[in-house]
Amino acid sequence: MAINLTKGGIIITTTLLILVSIPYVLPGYYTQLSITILTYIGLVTAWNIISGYAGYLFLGATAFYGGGGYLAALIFWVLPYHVGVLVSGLVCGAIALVIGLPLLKIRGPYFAIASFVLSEILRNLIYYLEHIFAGTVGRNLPTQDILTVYYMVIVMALASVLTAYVIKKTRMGLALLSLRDDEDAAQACGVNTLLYKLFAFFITAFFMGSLGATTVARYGYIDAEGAFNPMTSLTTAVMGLIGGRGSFEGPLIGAFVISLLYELFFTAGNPYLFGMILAILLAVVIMFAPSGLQGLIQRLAKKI
Amino acid sequence: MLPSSFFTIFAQLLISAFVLGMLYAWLASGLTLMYGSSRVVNFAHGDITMLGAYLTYWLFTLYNVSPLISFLLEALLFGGVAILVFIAITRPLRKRSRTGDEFEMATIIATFAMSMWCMNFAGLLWTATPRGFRYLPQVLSFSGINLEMNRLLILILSSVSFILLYAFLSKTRIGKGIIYTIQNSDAAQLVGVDVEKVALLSHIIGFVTAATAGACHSLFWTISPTIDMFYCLIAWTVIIIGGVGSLRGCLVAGLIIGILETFAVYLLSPALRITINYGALLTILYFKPRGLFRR
Repeated sequence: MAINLTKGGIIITTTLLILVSIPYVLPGYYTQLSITILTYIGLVTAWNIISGYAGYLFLGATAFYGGGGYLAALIFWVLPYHVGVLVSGLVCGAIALVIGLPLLKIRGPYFAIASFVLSEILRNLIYYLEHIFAGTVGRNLPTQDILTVYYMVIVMALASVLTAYVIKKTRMGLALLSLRDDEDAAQACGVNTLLYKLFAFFITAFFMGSLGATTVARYGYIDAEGAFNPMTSLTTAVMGLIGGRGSFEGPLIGAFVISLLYELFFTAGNPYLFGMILAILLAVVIMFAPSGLQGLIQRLAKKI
Repeated sequence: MLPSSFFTIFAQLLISAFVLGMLYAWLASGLTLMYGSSRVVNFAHGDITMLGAYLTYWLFTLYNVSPLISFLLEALLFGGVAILVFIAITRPLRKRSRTGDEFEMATIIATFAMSMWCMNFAGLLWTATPRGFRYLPQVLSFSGINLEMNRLLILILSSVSFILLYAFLSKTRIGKGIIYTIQNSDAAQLVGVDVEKVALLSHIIGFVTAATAGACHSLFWTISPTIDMFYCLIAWTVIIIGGVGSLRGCLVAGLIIGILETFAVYLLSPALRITINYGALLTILYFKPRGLFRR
C-alpha cells in the first residue's frame, strides 16, 4: 500500500517541532489550549476507528476516557507517570476485548444505545460503590507539571493519528470498510469480521483510556460524576460526525475546528449556547453534507 | 409512616410499580409505532418528554393552567412539531438513502442532533436546577396502602390514553394501516395502504405520546434538563423487551420494567436506579443482540 515514507517523515517532524516549541515560544495559555485540542484530536481519531472505519456508532467514549482516568488514579500511586498511562490504556483495551465480544454482536441503533448505556452504568455504579465501600466521593492522585502532561498528550495523540492512518492504508482498513458496508457479505468472503472488529475496538479503547490517564494528571482529583460525564461521549461523536466519519482527515478537522472554537469563544460564555450551535451544525451536516467538513473541503478543492 | 406488615409493603410497591409501568408503556407506545412503521430511530423521544414536562410546569406555575388542559394542549402542539420534523428531516433523508440501514443511521444522527439541541435549550431556559410543582398532593389511604392523588392521575391518564390508542389502531382504517405497515411495509403498500400517510401519522403519535408522558411525569416528579436521556433509554428498553411495533409487548414490557425498577430500588438503593434499569437493558442485549423478539 502507498505510504510515502519521506513525505510522511517530513510532515511528522514539522508537526512535532511546532508542537514541542509551543510552550517555549507562546504564553502558557497556549500550552493548555494545545492540550485540550490534542486530547480531542486523539479521542476523535480513536473514535473514528470503531465508528468511522468499522461503522459501529459508538456513543460511550467517556466509558474508556473516564475509565482510563479512574484507573490512573489508582495506578499512578504505584507506577511512574509514563508507564502508568500506558498500563491504563492497556487495561482499558483488555476490558474492551472482554465486553466487545457480546457488545459488537449488537448492530445498528441498539449498539449506539448499548454503548451509551455502558458509560452511564459505570458513572452510577462507581459513584455508588465508592460511596458505600470507600466512603468517599472521589480520589486524589499525584499531579504532574503541565509540560510533562503536554508532551505525553503529544505522544498519545500523534500515536493515535498515526495508527488510524496505518489502519486506513493497510489491509486492516479494507477489512473494516468491507464489514461496515455489509458484514454478512464480508464474512462470507472470508474476512474474519469478529477478529477485525475486536481489534478495532481494542485500539479505540486503548487510546481513549491512555488519553484519559494522561489528562487526569493535570487535575490531581477525579470523581465518578466528572470522569464519566456523558458530554465527553457526545462531544467526541459530534466532532467526528461533523468532521466526516470514516475518512482519515475528517476527525482531525472536526476535532481541531470545534475544540478551537469552543476554547476561543465559549469557555467564558454559556456552554448551553455552544451546545445548541453544535447541534444545529450537526443537523446541517447530516441533512446537506453527510460526508462532513472533509467532504466539503474535498468538493471545494475539486472545483478550484 | 411506614406500612408495618409484609403484605402492605408488597401491595404498596405493586401500586407504585403499576403507576410507573403504565407511564413507561404509554411513553414507549408511540416510539415503538414510529420505529416499526417508518424505521425512524428517534433518539430525541426523551427530549420531547422533557419539553412536555417543562411546558406543563410553566403553564401551571405562570398561568395556573391545569395540567389536564396542558396534557391536551401539548398533544396538539407536539403533533404539529411532528409534522414539521417529518417534512424537514424524515422525508429528505428517506429520499436520499439507498438502503434501509443507511436511512436508520441517518435518522439516528439527525435525531441525536435534535436531542442535543433540546437538552441545551432546556438548560438555557430553565438551568440545571430541578424544577417541580405540587398538584393534587392529597394522599388516598386504603387499609394502610397510600397513593397520592397526582400519582393516581398519572395512572388514569396513561391507561386511558393507552386504551384509546389501542382502540384507534385496531378499529379505524388508517390505524389498521399502521399495523399492516409494521408487519410488512411492501405488502401493505400493495394492498393499498398509503405508507407515506402512515409514516406521518406514526410521527404524530410518537411525539404526542412522548410529550403527554412528560406532562404525566411533571405531576409527581421534578424536572431537569437531563431527564431526557433517562426517558429516551427507558422507551428503547421497553421496545427491546416488548418487540418493535407491538403495543401489547409495549404494555407487558412497560409493566415488567416498572415492577423491576420499583422492587429493585426498594431492596437495593434508590441511588442505583440507573444501574438497575440500564443493567436490564444491557443484559437483554447481551443474550439477544436484536431484542427479545426479532422483527
